[in-house]
Parts: sequence; structure tokens; C-alpha cells
Amino acid sequence: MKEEIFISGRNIPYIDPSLNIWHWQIPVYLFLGGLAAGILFFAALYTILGKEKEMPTTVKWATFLVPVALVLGLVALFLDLNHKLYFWQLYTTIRIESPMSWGAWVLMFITPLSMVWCATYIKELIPKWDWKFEILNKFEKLAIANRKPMAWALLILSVILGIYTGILLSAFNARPLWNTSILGPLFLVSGLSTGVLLQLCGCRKAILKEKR
Amino acid sequence: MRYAMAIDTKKCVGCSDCVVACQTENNVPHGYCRDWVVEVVDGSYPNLELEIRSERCNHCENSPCVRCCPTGASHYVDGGFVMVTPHKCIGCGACIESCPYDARYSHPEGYVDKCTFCNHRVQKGESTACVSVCPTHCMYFGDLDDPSSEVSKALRNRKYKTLAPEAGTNPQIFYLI
Ligand code: SF4
Ligand code: SF4
Repeated sequence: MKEEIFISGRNIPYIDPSLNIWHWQIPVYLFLGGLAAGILFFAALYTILGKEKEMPTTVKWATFLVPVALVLGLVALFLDLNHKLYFWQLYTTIRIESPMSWGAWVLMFITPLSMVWCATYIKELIPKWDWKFEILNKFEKLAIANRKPMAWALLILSVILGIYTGILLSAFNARPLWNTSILGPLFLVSGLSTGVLLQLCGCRKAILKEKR
Repeated sequence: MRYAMAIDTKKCVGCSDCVVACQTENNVPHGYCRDWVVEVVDGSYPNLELEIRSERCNHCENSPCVRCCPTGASHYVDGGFVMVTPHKCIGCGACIESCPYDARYSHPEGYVDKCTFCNHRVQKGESTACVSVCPTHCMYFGDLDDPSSEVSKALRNRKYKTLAPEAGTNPQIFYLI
């Protein structure tokens, strides 16, 4: 048996702080990010396939949860940073090697894009909705006309959003059980399945009706 | 230039002078350290083996910490030093999670800190603080590319190992065994 002790550890209480550097915020974000990726992926996919009419929950209603999930997830991520005021340093560079860098950039684009996506459907959800400013009305029209390109962008971004967290963890040489190439696809699949599940919950009534 | 350190596990007595020297030289906040000493006991009684090791950041050639860093705060500088720029670090902890040697810690001010191989001293032509105080002279620091440097000589004459070679990080600290 190998026994290892710190001889110099007695007056150094923080000698081994590494295992608790990440806290509850990270799993919360991993879940919310995966969920958002899953919902957006299928919303975009069925828009591209032209099934908006048949699948309103998937394409329209479920997506209203995405900005909420993403914003909560981003708040969680921010809370877990130790040097918070410097978070903008993420956006001074793009590091291809670092999955966290892709993640930061993808979130930067996908969050506003998901909001715009919802905005194009808000009048269908709340018929009395009023944008108040003319410019917003114009913007809405423009966005509605461009749903297809938006869907393509969302499709690609949501795959990156769903997979980068897994690749991030698998890049850690220090954790043998994470250090495997299966982790990225695993995270993507689990995000997609969570998204689908939520969309299915939204269609419960329709499904029950069909069964009868 | 490729700076490296060789540490003689047969000569080290575990006095922790290197730890205190580093804390003083680098203003390490109270309760933290950039280097530390472990004692490893291997085998079963009565056939026991004892190894004492002074450990620190290995300044890996293929370092997961630099790879994971999203801002470039963790980076290499000439000579193979792995350094952290505090005002670029967001304290995300990716590097801490990825280091197989637990060599990094979160500084109370928020950024991540670790051994710098005393880059500021080396640039002045001095050796690192830990190496210069070691009372048993069991550590050697220098340039691996220079065959007449102390490290190169030590590695030529002795058997040595690195820590966690299976992690594929290519550490630049060699333990003489
Ligand atoms: S020992 Fe850890 S902190 Fe130092 S270079 Fe290697 S991975 Fe990075
Ligand atoms: S904690 Fe700092 S040095 Fe470490 S990966 Fe994050 S930004 Fe880079």
C-alpha cells in the first residue's frame, strides 16, 4: 500500500483546495445549458424541415424557456468565477484550444439569438403584445422574414453549446474518468434528450388525444 | 532554452525550508503555498520504503492548464515557464481542475496562482528561491539544453522519474531515485 502525507501541510490549511474549486453553480449551468441546447436544436431542426404548423410546442412555445434557462445558467457561471470583475477578458480573445473559450463565445451569440427567436413568436403567444417602439416592430418583421437563416444558425450553435461542456471536462488530464472522448457526445445526447422530454411534456394533451 | 529542475529524493530530509523560502520570496498569502513536501511510504511492514519529495508546478511541456484557459491568462514564456497573468485571469478554475498535480490554488484576491520557477530571479541570473535555500543541496535547477548545467549533469548520472507520466503532460521536474 502507498501512503502519502503532506509533511509541510501543518501550517498551510489551504494546501489542497483544488477539489472544491467548482461548486453547485457548475452542475446547475451544465443542466440548464444542455436543456437550452436540446430545445433549440429541435426547434431549429423542425423549422428547417418546415413543420412549424404541425409542431407548435417544439418550434414555438418550448423555446420561451430557453432565454430564461440561459440567463439563469449565465448567472450561475458568473457566480462561480473567483475573479469576477475580469470576466470580460473572455471576450478579448478566441482560444481554439480551450473549450471554455468557445463556450463563452457561443453563449454570447446564442443567448440574444434565442431571445430574438422568441420575440418573433410572442405575438402568437400573447395576441395583445405591443412593442411600443416602431423600430422594434420593424425589427420583428425583419426577424420573422429571416426565421430560416436564424434556424440554421441556432442549429449549429446549439450543437456546439450542447457538446462543448463535455469536451471541456474531457480535456482535464487530471480526472481519468472524465478524460475520454465519449464525454462530449454524451453531454450532447443528454442535453438533446432533456430538451425533447420538455417538449413532449408540453404536447401531453395532444398526445393523449391522439391515443384516444 | 528549456528550464527544468531535478530533485534528489534520496537527499531530501523533508525540512520544508523550500516551502518557507517560496512563501517569503513570492509573498504567498498566509495559509497557502506554491510548493509543498510529501512523504510517501510504500510496501508492507517490515519491508517499507520511504520517499520524501518537494513538489510544485511541473511546468509541463504539454500542460492541460494552458490548454484549458479561456483567456490566455495561463501561458508559456520563453524557457518553458508556465505563467499566469493575474489581470487576465477570470478565476474560472478550469486550470485548477485540469492540473494532475494540484499545483494551482485560487489566490484570496480571486486569480489563480502557482509556482513561477522564480522567473523574476532566473531573469537576473539567479536560481529559484527553493533551490538556493535547500540545506542538503538536493535540488538542481537549470537549462536542459545546456549539457553543462547542473540539471543536465544530475540527470546524466542518476536514474530519475516524473510524476503521473500517464497524464501525458511531459513534466519538467525530475525526481532522482
Ligand atoms: S503542473 Fe499543473 S499547473 Fe503546472 S504546468 Fe503542469 S498542469 Fe499546469
Ligand atoms: S482560472 Fe484563470 S488562469 Fe485558470 S483557466 Fe481560468 S482564466 Fe485561465
